Amino acid sequence: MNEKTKRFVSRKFQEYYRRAKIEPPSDFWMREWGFVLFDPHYPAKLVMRRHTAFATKEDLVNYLRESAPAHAYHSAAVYNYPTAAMAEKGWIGADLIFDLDADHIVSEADLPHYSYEDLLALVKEETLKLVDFLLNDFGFADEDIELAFSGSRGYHIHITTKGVRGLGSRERREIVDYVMATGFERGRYLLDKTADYRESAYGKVAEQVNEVPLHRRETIRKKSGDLQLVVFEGWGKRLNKGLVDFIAEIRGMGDKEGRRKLNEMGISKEMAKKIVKMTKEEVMIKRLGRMEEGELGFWPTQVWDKIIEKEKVKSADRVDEPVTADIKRLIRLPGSLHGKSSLKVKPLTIETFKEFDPLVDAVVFGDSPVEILPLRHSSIELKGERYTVEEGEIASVPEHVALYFLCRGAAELT
Amino acid sequence: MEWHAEPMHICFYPFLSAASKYVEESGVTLEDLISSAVFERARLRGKERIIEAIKGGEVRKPAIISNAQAEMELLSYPFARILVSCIGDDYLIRRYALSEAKAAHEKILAGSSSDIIYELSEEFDIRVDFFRLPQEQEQEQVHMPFVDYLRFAANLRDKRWKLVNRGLENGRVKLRKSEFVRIIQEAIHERIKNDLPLDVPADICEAISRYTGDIKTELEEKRKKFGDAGFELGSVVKDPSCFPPCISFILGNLKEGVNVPHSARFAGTAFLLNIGLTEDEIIETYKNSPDFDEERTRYQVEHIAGDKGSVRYTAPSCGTMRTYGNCVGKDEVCEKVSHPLSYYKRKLKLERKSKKEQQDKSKSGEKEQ
Repeated sequence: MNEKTKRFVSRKFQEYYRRAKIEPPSDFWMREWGFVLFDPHYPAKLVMRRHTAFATKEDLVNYLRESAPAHAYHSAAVYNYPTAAMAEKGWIGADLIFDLDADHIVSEADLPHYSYEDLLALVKEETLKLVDFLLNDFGFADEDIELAFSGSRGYHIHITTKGVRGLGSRERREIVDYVMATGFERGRYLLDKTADYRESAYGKVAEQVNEVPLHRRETIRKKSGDLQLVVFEGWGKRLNKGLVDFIAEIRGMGDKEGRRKLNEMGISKEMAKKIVKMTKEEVMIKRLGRMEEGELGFWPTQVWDKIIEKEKVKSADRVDEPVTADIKRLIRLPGSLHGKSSLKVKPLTIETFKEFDPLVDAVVFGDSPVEILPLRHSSIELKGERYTVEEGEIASVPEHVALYFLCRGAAELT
Repeated sequence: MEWHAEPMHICFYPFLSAASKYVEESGVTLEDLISSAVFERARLRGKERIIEAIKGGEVRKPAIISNAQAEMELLSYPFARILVSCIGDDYLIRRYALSEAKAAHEKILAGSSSDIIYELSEEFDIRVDFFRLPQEQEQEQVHMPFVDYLRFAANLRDKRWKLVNRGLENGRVKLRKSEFVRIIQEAIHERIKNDLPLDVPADICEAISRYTGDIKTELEEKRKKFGDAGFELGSVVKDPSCFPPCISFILGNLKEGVNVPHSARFAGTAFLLNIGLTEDEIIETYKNSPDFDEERTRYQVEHIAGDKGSVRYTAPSCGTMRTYGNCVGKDEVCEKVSHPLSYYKRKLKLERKSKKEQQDKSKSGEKEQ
């Protein structure tokens, strides 16, 4: 980004902050703020100005209008002394923050095979799953869940209710593990009815038998390998529903197709044949009814693995997981702009999230034509229109498209 | 139920705010407690609480038949806390807090009434619902907010306590009653541990040194018996200084009462069995563990040992230790081996060799003279 481009982008950001109405987070005066400015180092070196605090909303708004930062963050935590050095801040509590990024869902190696649009769709799907966990399992109310488009390739969820504030790292890690099915033990949910009392392929049984409601106990030890669901809530419900969906999926496929799918999952030919046949039998309808009672019948472990894989919130094997257990991190200010895309970190509710299309709804700049010099081949669809530029071929594009390419570092002003 | 009127009841749960309120309102001053002859019984019982913690890992609850007895029992608790604080030993504080918590846990389980569970939930500010499923007396269930659950269960390492392995719906975690009582134990433990040591003035510590002296002796003895590597060697002569770093670390944590993951316990147990410790000796090393349950531990140890017709296990290899995050870093001997047991054998050999060399040296030294 050359000086001329930087000045232009900076001015445009300033125009945005002058007209934008930004709602600061709750207890903003107890939060630490951090900004990256369009300073002489930008973007070669990102200098984060941290340990800032604002006593009033006016101070914050004025700061944004004057300095028009490339990136704006606030702490998830609230502190006694937000401007002090990290060790002296006096941590009071932190919002529960979830940070889902396409980076986490698609492995680095596969990333180039996906378009920006595909990645956004993928991450939206995972976010919907996470929201479902938060509403149904964790029991948060719709209005407790504040979403925001990250301005790049993901979504953030902020939960600021009082109850979660005091959670420590370890407790937060448990929440992460829950939605990602880390440390999940099938044997806690599924009881192998015929297994040896003490031990089975699904784990220890002894203590589970107590979990089985008395009126269901006589069904234990009935049929070889049959499984009884012993926990009906949360993940138990997901296993149950996942199995019904799975059966419907196989049932809806041709015999051959169904067998192939099962083979691909690592299920033996013989077993695959049996399963496909079983799903198509008339009695299956009756059995589905019994499944609601938790009598699931026999299914090979690969089926359960598949169900869990589908139901959990995904993350590639990276250190930075989609949900953060870090209680001191900074998160993008909803309503601010993302300096690498010019898109708005748009605050969303569960309702508005469903219909939200970042490539339309997070665009804040206008349509007046701007001439740019592309530095490489690039393509983007914004506001329903596709723009493709070629390296070295000067193009005149609407301002919002120009700013997207300029911020990406894919073009300079002419 | 008005608790503060019933010392015979609350004396079993002296960490409750109702108990400290009772003591406060009784008019007994700190001065009285540490020096008045009337309270000698309370002081002796206070000392006993700690000695029991060191010895047995549990503060036994006496049979209380009179109000006077109950009051002594109640007063013995603040005195015990003063004693522990004067000694100021981290290990003792952990051990003592754990023992008090375990004792309360036992007492709750032994009781027939659920009232105490209600009261404790309230005490620890846990918003809890009890459900008795129709026709299923033993199936009393407890539903508690996940936030409260995490607050207390996050320290429990067994996988069954992981939230992901729990029924969770509408923000509420489903537990069996006995499991909930285990959570209460954690809450008690946390409360007792968190405000220890108290800030006790030096002159008071001085005034009660005849009580702390005995405790220190007991503590020393325990230390001696357990050795530096942190486990009781019993009659078998084994050399803990030759243990690989991973095993020493695990045993050290167990000794300190730090909770140790299941995979590490397995590794530690298998290792000790492999080098020839008996099951009883091994169970002893687990006594400090925060979620120690003798019966369960015995079952696990025996299972690994190969009783009850199961396989006898060998300690996991270095590779497996690394996979489970139980490898704590290599020393020079580690570089040459791929199994903790090989480490031990090799190190023993090296030790013997160096001892022999030293002896030879001193012998040849004698000759030269």
